[in-house]
Amino acid sequence: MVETQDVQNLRQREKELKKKKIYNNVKLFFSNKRAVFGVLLLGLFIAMSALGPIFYEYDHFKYFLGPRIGMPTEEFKLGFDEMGRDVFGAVIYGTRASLAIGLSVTLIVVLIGSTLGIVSGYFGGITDIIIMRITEVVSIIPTIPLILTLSVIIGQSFSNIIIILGVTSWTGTCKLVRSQTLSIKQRNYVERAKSIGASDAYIMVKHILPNVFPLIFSNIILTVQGAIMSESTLAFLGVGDPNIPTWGQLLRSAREQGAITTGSWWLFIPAGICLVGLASSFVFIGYGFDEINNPKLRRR
Amino acid sequence: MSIRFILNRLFYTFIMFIFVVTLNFALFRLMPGDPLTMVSKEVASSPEGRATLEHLYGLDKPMFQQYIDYLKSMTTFDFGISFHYKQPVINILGDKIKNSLILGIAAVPLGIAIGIIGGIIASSRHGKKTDVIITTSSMIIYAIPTFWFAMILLMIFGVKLGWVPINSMVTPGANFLNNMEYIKDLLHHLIVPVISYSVAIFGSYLLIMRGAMIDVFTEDYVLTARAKGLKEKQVIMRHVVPNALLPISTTVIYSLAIIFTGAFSIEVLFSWPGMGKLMVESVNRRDYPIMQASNYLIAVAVILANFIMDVVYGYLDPRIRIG
Repeated sequence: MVETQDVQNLRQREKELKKKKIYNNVKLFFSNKRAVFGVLLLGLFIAMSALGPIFYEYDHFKYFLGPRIGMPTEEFKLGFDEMGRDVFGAVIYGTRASLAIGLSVTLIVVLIGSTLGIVSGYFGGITDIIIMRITEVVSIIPTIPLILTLSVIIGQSFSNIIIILGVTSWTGTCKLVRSQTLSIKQRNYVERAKSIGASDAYIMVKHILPNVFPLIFSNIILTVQGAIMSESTLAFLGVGDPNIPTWGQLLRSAREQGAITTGSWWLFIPAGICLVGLASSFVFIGYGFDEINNPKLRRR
Repeated sequence: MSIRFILNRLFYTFIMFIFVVTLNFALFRLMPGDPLTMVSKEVASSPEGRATLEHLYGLDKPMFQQYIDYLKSMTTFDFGISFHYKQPVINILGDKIKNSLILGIAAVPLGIAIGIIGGIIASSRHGKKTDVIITTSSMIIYAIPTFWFAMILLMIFGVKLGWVPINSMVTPGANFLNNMEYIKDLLHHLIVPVISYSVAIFGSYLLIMRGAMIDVFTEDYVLTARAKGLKEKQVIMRHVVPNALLPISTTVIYSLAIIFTGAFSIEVLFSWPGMGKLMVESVNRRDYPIMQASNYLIAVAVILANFIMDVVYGYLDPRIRIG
C-alpha cells in the first residue's frame, strides 16, 4: 500500500508532537528542584551499590576483623559490630540489598497490579466486580500481620520476603490502573482498533498498557520506596534473611546490642541515614512525576 | 440514604467476612511444624498422649467439621489456649489491646490532626516558601522509618539528657501509692513513643490532605466563592476544607479502626506490652492460637470499618450511592 503524502505528513507531525511532549515533560521534571535532588541522591546510591564493592577491600562477613562493637578507626571509619565485623562494608552491601528488594517487589506489584487492573477496567461487568472485591479485601487487611503470618508459612529467605511484600502491596496500583483504563478505553483509537477487528488482548497490550503506564509512573516509584521501608520494618521486627544483611537488620541488631544506651552510634546512625536517603530519593522523584501528570499540583 | 444501598453493602461485608475468616482458617492449616509438640513435647511424644491432644484440639475430626468448629469458636471469641502462656488467649489479648489503645489513642488522632492542619496550611500557600518547607520536610519524614526516628529520640532525650525512661510502659517493679502516681509514671513513659508514633503518621496525612486541597482549589465553586467576594480564609474554611476532607475521611476511619493492633516497630522498640509486640513475639514463638485470634480480631475490625466507611461516604457524597 502506498501512503499518500498527507498520511506521511501526518505521521511526521505526530512524531514531532510526541518528541515535543517528551521534551516538555523532561524539562518540567528537571525544573522541579526536589525531583532533581532525588535523582542525584538516587544516582549516588546506585553508584554506591555498583562501585562500592569494587573498591571495598575487606570481607564484610569476616568475624573479628576488629574488637566487638569497636569504635571507628582511621581504617574502619564506621567501627565494628557485635561480632567484630566491619559496619562500613555492611552498609555498602546493604544498598544492594535494599535496591534489589525495592525493584523486585515493584516488578511483582506492577505485574499483578496492572494485569488485574487492565483486565478489570477493560472487561467490566462481573470480571470487574470479582477482581475489585478481591482487591478491596486484600487492601483492607493490615499488611504487617498478614506478612508476619505468611512469613511463618513460606519462610523468611531473601526471595520469600520479596514475594511476600509483592503479593501484599499490589492493590493500590491495581485500583489506579483500573481507573485509568476506564477512561482510556473510551478514547477514539480504542474504538477504531475494535472496529477493524483487533482482539481484546491486542488492544489491552498495544493500546491500553502503553497509555496507562506513564500515568502510574509516580505510583510505581513510590512503590519502590514503600517496599524498601516495609522491608526495613520487617527486618527490625525480626523477619528477614540473616545471610543477606539489610539496613533494617543492622538497625535491629544495634537495638539488640543496646547501642542506644551505650552510645555506639556507628551501629545505627549510618544505616539509618542511608535508609532515609534512599527512601526519600524515591519520594522526591515520585512526587516530581506526580506534578507532571497532575497539572493542578504545579505552582500557580 | 436508601435501605437498598445499606443492604447491598451489608451483603458484601458478609461475603468479605466469610472470605477472610476462611483464609485465616486455611493459612493456619498450612503452618509448618507439628503444633501438638508445641503444646507439650512430653505428652505429644507418646501415641496415647497424641491422641488425647488431637481430640482436645479437635484435630481428629474431619476438615469440614474442624472448619465449622472454628467458625463457632471465633464468633464466640473462644480462641483456645495459647501455646506459650498456657492460658486462654482471650485473657492475654484483653490486656494487650488495652495497652495498645493507650498508646494509639494518644498518638493517632494527634498525628492525623497535625497532618490535616499542615496540609491545609501548605496547600493554601501553594508554591510559596511555607509550602515548600512544609511539603519537603514531610516528604523526608515520610521516608524516615518510625523506629529509627524513635531510636534517635531515645538516644538524645532518654540516654544523653535522661529526661525520659527508655523502655516499658511503667517503671518496672514500682509500687504506686495511688492512681495519680501511676498515671504520672505512665505519661512519663508515653512521651517519646507518642511523639515518634504521631510523627510516623502525620507525613502521609499531610501529603494526602495537601493533594486533596489543591484538587478542590481548582473547582468552579471555589471560583464562585471567590467571585462572591468572600475572604480567602472563608473560602478555605467553608468551601475547600470540607470538600477536601471527604476523600480523607475514609482513611481516618480506617486508621482509627486499627489503633488496637498497635504500632509494631514502636511497641517492639519501647518494649511496650501491646498487641503489636505480642504478635511479633507470637510469630517468633510459633504461638498459632494467638496469631490466629489476633488476625481474626483485626479482620473483624477492618471489615466493620470498611462497612462504616462505605455508609459514611455514601452519606457524605451522594454521587457514590446513586451512581
